[in-house]
Amino acid sequence: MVKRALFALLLLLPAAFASAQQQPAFATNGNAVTIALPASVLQHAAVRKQLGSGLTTTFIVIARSRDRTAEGGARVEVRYDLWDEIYHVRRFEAGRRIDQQRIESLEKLEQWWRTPSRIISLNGQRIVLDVELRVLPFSGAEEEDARRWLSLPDRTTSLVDVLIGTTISAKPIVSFRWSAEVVRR
Amino acid sequence: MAETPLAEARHTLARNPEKLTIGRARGTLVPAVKNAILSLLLILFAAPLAAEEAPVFLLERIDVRNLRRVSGDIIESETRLREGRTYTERELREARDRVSRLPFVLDAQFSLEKGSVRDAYVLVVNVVETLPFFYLLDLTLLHEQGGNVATPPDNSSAAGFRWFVGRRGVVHVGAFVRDDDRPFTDDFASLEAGYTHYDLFGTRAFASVSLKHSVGDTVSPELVVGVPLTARQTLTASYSTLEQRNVYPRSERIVSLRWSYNTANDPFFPTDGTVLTAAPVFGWIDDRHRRGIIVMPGPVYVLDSVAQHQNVAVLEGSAAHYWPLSDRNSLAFEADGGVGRADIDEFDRRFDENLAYGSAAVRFSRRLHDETSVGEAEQRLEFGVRAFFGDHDPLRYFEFERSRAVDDAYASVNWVRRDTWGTLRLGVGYEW
Repeated sequence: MVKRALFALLLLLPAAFASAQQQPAFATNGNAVTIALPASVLQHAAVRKQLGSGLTTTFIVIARSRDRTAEGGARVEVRYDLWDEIYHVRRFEAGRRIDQQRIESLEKLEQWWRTPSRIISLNGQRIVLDVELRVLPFSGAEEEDARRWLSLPDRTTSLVDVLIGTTISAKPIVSFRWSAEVVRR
Repeated sequence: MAETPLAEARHTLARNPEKLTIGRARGTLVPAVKNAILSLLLILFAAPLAAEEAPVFLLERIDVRNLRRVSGDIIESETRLREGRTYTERELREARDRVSRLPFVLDAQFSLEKGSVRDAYVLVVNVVETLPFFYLLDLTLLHEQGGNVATPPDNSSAAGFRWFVGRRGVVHVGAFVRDDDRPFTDDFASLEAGYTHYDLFGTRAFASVSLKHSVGDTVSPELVVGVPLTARQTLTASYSTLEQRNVYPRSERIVSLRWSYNTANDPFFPTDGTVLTAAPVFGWIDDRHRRGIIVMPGPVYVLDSVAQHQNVAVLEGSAAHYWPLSDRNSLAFEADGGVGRADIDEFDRRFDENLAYGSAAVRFSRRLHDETSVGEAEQRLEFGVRAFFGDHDPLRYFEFERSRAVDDAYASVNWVRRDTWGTLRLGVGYEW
């Protein structure tokens, strides 16, 4: 019995460790750095609880170059419709791109979640990034910021301000931080 | 037969088919495009489309949970939401902010559950309460140019107990020290007992009555009635008295009607939002001679008579705005003041005095705590500069308070901590 428990523990430990250590995948797409967020964020207990709240959960990605010469970000909003049992998702990313969909299941949501988002311009061959993901209750920025964001010319330097707008002051449910060095391919 | 609010709301929705998409995003955006023409189209058209997408939620019921001492009816009242009506997420977020501003609530989280009929929801409010004992110690020690140590005029302290009576009542007992910077009212320290009733007659209004008593004083009543005008605006009428029978007998009666607009995101550590107030304030103040023998040159004083009577009328206002600079840092600008007139009657002379007083402050604040933790102590570090303008000299006949000069200013650094027990704000500074 003890041996079986130990064996199960040995099996579970690496899985738990791998889950806790999931990192986002960074890549380059033209002159932009993209981030594919790990599914472990959606599986975090606090995030999952908020996703089930029926209210919008807002994910703010803030990316800054280590030398603080560039910054950017992306915003993802997910709202689970309790009655229709579908996820309403919306992604704002650098370059004024917006992606809005209705997703029918958590599995498909995790697939969509891993779609790379442009977060910051890449001017040289490489960039060292500090990235923070803040998970906020409610649609913190809401439509006003979306309108403002869509109506402004694309100015990378002010992107963080525009993207996160009023949400920066909202109290996050949980936040994640990563660092990465991204090399142009 | 009268309809229930929920039924009425459902009929309203039925009459307005465009509202039948409750709880669902309405419309779809043009897909993201790459070329400039479509980008322009996005700019021109996506914005109004986005505006139409805001989901609205029909609240069948409001369910307040995780309560041990606090009354759920009071929490529900403070949301200012009504069962059977529809609300946007923004309105729900503002309701959560209002609940979070209650002095006995440390944190509040909102979520939805399915209601009993399609497209109706139960709003679940999960509350983290403070403890029944509460304290506030706001103390900044200032080093003056002359080497003395002083405190700024906005310090205040309190300690006491609060318990809930019935579904909408709160009783409090405690000791309070209140400073204000008006030239016509006195700072005071007192023992106080009071009762606040929320959701008066189902109107979301509240009324509070309290009795103050300090050594040598009689019991002085205070009455406050607050009526919400909108989700962000409140009208508060107050009547307070202060009867001092110490060395310098004095009676104050103050009436005010205060309009306030509040979008601050936190009652104690706001980092975003605006707070505006405006209030006509009227005061009737008597300074009296004490019973006994007064030996002094000049006119003959009648013992136990009014030495000075003031009729005061001022318009007071305040404005505060909070800017989030980053997730940790914020900047605040705060200003308050009043302008008005005092008619003063003293023995053989009567005169008017114009009143103008106020202060302005800039404060930088940095969060020290992990904001993702719920129920843990919140801590901040504050750096601020505050300057006073106008005349802050007390108008009272028997002068013994320290006068604050027109050009007084101070800079201070404060450490602030708030947990389920109360709030501590300690600091040091320099006054010039």
